[in-house]
Amino acid sequence: MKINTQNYESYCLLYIDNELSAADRMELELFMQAHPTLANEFAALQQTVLTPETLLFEDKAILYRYDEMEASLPSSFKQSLYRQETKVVEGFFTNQRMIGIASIAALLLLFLGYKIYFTNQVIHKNEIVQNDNHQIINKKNTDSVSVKTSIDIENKPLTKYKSEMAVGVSNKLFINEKLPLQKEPNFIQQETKTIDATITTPTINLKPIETETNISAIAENSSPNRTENTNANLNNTDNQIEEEENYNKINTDEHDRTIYIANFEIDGDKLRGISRRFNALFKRNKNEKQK
Amino acid sequence: MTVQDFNNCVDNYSDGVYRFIVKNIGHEADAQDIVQTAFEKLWINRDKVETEKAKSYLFTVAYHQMIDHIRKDKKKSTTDNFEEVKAHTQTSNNSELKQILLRAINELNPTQKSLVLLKDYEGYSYQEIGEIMNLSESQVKVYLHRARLILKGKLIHVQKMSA
Repeated sequence: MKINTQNYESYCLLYIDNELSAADRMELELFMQAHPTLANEFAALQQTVLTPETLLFEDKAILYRYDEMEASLPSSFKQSLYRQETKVVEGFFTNQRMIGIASIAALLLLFLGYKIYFTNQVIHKNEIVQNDNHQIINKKNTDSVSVKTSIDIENKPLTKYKSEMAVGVSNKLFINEKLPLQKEPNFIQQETKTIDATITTPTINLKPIETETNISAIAENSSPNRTENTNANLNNTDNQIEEEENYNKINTDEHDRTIYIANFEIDGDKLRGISRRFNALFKRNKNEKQK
Repeated sequence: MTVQDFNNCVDNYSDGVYRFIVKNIGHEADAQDIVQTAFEKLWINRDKVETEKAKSYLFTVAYHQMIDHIRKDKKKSTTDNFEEVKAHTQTSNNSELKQILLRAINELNPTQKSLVLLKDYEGYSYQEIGEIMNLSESQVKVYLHRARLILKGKLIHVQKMSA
């Protein structure tokens, strides 16, 4: 027999914990019947066993789960909702640099456009003037005005009266095309004065209308055949009137000098004035250095 | 574990887990929170937990939650709480012996109390109790036998005093 007075307590504890086999349980019950003094202790140990109580968890509804709770989005759709932060790599073309480059490019375009526009304009006018000069040469009397025309062609004049007044005058005169025709007399008067200063005979009475005669007078002073030239000059005055009419057909004053760059409208006259001032400054510096 | 299996676990085990916890900590609201947490974890791990082991899993989670709760709330008087719980129990056994035994159980340490409750209320074996409480089978046996002897001594002492 396994159970004795030394180990009965552990068997009793195993008995009340329901950890004994059926055979051991029977053996312990027989042992207790044989030892009634130990049966009281066994009964006391059995009293330590709690009888189950009924305690209900009332809010079972909060524990229940439903199929709708398992509803979930497909992984592909979830991935479409993900957002990732991408690092912005700062390259060479930052905002400030781009603004700087754009401003430089705009200035270059402005400058190039200005240059191209005015060079084309000058070339165009030179062509017109050359064509006019050819016409003039064809119309002029070869006997009396041959000297003048030869000088005019060499000097490349811009207008008719300038071409005629161009004896001994530098190329600056030909570019000055903005002088109105109404001021011709004064201009001619000044030019004739310069011509008179260059040519040997200064005692000539100049009048605005008599430009051709004055020049013819100069020619008379310089040439021996005065009578022949005067007659030829008279004929020339008639020809000049006709040529003036031809020149009046070309309107060079009302020229649109506006430059359009994108949406910007720039007054060409003002720019031209600025460029002239710059040119004058450089030339002045050159002159000073040469001196 | 399907949804139906989970709901069956709620029906079958929620009362037992709640009773085990409320007898230990003596506070109904805290016991309900612990039970809810245990079922929440079971739901989260429903794919890993087999249905047959769901009861053991629930008691294990609830026991560890209860230990954390006891550590956080040591100031509470377990005796007072137990009396509070006693008023809400639906038991019909209001004998004097029962009251003495309940007081004696409340004087046990938490481990011994849990061992007695798991053994007497839930009928777990030593091995199952060891798995729930993270103890070896021999430890469960020793601790539980000590608790029984303590309870027996108190019962005999009270009976002698009353006699």
